Amino acid sequence: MKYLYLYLTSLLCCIQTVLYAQNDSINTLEEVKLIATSFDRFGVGRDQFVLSDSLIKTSGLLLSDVLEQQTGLYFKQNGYGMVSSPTFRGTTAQQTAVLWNGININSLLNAQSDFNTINSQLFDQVAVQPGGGSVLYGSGAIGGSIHLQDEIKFDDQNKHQFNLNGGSFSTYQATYKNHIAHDNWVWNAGLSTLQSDNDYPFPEQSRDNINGRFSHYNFTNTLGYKINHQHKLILDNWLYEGKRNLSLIRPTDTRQQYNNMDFRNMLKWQWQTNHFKSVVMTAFLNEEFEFVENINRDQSTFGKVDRFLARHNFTYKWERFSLQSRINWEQSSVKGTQLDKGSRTDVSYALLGNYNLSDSIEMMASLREEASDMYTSPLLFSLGANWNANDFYKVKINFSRNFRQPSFNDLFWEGSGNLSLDAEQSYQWEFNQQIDFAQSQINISTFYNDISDMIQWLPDNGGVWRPNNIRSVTTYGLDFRMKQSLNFFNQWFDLQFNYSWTTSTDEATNRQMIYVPKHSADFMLSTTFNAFSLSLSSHYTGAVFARTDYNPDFVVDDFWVQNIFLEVDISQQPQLSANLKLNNFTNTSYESVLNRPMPGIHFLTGIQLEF
Amino acid sequence: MKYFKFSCLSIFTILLITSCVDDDNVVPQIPEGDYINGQLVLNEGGTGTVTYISDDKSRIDNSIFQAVNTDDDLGQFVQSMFFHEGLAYIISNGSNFITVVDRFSFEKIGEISGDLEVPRYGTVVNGKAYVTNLATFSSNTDDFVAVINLEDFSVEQTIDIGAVAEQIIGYNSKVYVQNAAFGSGSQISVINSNSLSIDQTIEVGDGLNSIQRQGDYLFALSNQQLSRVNTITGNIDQTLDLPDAVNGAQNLQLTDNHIFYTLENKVYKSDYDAEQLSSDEMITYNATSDFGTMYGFNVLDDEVFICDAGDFVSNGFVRIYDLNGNFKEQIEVELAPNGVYPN
Repeated sequence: MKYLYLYLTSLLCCIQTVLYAQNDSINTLEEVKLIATSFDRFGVGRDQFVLSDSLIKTSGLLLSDVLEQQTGLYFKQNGYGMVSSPTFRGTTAQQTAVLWNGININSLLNAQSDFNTINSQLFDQVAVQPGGGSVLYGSGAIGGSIHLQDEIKFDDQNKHQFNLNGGSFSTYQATYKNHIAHDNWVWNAGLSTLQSDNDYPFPEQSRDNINGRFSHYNFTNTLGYKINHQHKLILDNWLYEGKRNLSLIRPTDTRQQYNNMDFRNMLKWQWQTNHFKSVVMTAFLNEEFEFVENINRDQSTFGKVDRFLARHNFTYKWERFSLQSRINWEQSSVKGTQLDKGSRTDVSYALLGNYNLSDSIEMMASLREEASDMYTSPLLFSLGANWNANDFYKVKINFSRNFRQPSFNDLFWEGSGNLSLDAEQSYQWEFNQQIDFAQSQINISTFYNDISDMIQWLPDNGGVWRPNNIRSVTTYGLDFRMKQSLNFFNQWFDLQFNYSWTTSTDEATNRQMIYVPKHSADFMLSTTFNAFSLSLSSHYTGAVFARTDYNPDFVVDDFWVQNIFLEVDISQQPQLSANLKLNNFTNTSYESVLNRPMPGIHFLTGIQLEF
Repeated sequence: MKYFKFSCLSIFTILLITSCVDDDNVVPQIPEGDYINGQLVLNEGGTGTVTYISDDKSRIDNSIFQAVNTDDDLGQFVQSMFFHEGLAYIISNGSNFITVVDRFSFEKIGEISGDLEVPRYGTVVNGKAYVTNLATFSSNTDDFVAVINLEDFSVEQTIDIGAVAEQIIGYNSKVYVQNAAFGSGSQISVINSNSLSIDQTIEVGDGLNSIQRQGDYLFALSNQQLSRVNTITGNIDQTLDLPDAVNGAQNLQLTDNHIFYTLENKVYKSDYDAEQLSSDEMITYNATSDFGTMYGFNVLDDEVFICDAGDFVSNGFVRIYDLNGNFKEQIEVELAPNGVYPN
């Protein structure tokens, strides 16, 4: 099964490694401005930040682009638009949780999210919370979590927004979003299509990206109804369908295709009084993929997961004290060509308490017990405190235990699945400081994460690849985030700078994990002049080892990529603007995964109309 | 996994072709090249590489193909190689091509591509190469054998096997294809190289995992038995049961006097004419590597080679023993070594 090795690596990414990443930041925005469920008062002690609309717009169409350019997060991409998996604070792709309106949407098949399948423009907000948050967000919130949020505003306004873009390599994109609010009703919908031939020439090489074409279709829908001032009903839907060819390393490689569909639906009833808030939610999520092993042959394999969940969160507030109970019940079933039929029921119960000792000190303690019929999971906890020492200095500290449940591939892969796996677990602490000056803000986070029982696929003595809880990894590091406003010759500039230093050590070998850069940084300078806005961004990713023996011949070199974004407002009523994005304008040759070159200089231009 | 990489090894011993004219002035052609009198280790990759080890182990050269042929490589996942008339044919199953090199100098002579789909193993009969192709991984019925013209390196024809096609051995005018891989299957198909059709199928034990030839006999190792096929009659003339302790043995290797097989991290040896197969381990292999144990296993002349792929993301190594199981040497090679060939 040498071929299975290739197969698993490329398709499931569930084999080797553990990786890294880190976070970092953006435009101001305190927790207060955050939308309801993303971060709540029980995230005490944690660092967190939000990517604003304007920032998202400047950085690209896919969530990988946005996070890579704005947060220094490292994505391993098998070429542009292909499978993209993050390493957050030195952890694996399965240790970053993605939440959609509060629901963890990491694939149950491979336990990770593919950030090249998420269109960044469809959501009202993208928020990032580095560090462990499993008590609140469940499986995979070890390195950090990414929150995609839809906003429900009963503001009696109607808005329509159109975006049309076109660019290099026959890339076309169209998005329509609306917000219609009337009395007790609000309706937000989005429709988006993106397609690209993606046949970019490799810088400094003599050939193009072959078989890289992809297309995405997205539909989102949010319907809110306010029954009275205490009760609200909210319905959320998100349908994604993607078709991607998988780009080749050599022209003679077998041409493959990967198609997948995600259909997510949620209904929520929210009851809020002055003293308590109750949220009852039910959701149905479906994920499905089709893998065409050879485009020239009419044959494919598939996998499919149906997941049903019901949840009740109840928060009671009493003077300086808040108490929350969370009950979550989930049932999922899986079937597929190479998967044994299986199902799993998970129940979790969490109890969280928050106490405001004074106006400047807030403390939080929480526990979560997870019971599953398929694996054992540790008792999770999170303890945190925030101290606002004064107007310009704030401190946050958090200690937590987090987990990542075995994926359905780990459990049910035909002939290889291991039904006796435990959950991966981690103990972590973090210490965050924030310093505010008149024109700038600095955040410094330090963290330490001890991860054990990590699941890794390796051949057993009979040569069959199987997952086991074998690896232990320690990560620690520092994230530095700075925002600054500068004035030169009466012209204001916004400066943003992020830097991360990450150590991620395999405890067996005492070496840095492969594909975890020690250093990464990004930098952005933006300004507005009359109707023009300009931003210049640059991100740096340090070199990574691709081999565990640190073989110097197999290093992915560090790279520095620069992008420029120019926008001009054409009219105010209706709002019409045009923009031009020039990515990698220095035509740097770089790759984030060995032998997978990324595009050189390329552009995207578009218009946005809003009324 | 560890299925044989050596189908053709035993067939093509190093025959130095001399003039066929009966003449007193025969000048033997002496092969030339840097990579003679030693072993070639095939490292699957990533991108495949070949390591040369000299007979006296004093010289170890890694990535010899890339060293000789700058800016070229062997493709992804090199599965196996076979030899014919001074040339080595190196099969890349990830990139669907076969690189042809001078076996001693390692200079590239040509490339075979087109009509190959996840090629696995090859052999040569009557001047033509026969290469098994797995086609799609998810189907066991689309496997085929590509028939390759060795004059112009083109695929002349494909033969549908209708079952799994894994190891392949050519002998006389017949081509034997193992219809079993990854622990299941029990058949051998026999292709007639004149009609290019399947003449016969031979049923051996369940869980067939390797075939080897010695003289007129084709041996097939299955989960619980070793079958011997007389290639002249096409019949199984002997079946030996594996003792319970070595059920599931793999990696059959033959020498003039002995039969070798492995189970997990152990090597076993029986006499060639034994009536009962041994379950006494000759080598117990306790490497520091937990994972890539016994990724390749070969017995060449008077040495046993065990390839260890480590964690598959770092260089593997080869452990060398004598035929009595005495450890001689361990040599670091490259990524995922899967077989050793005499050169």
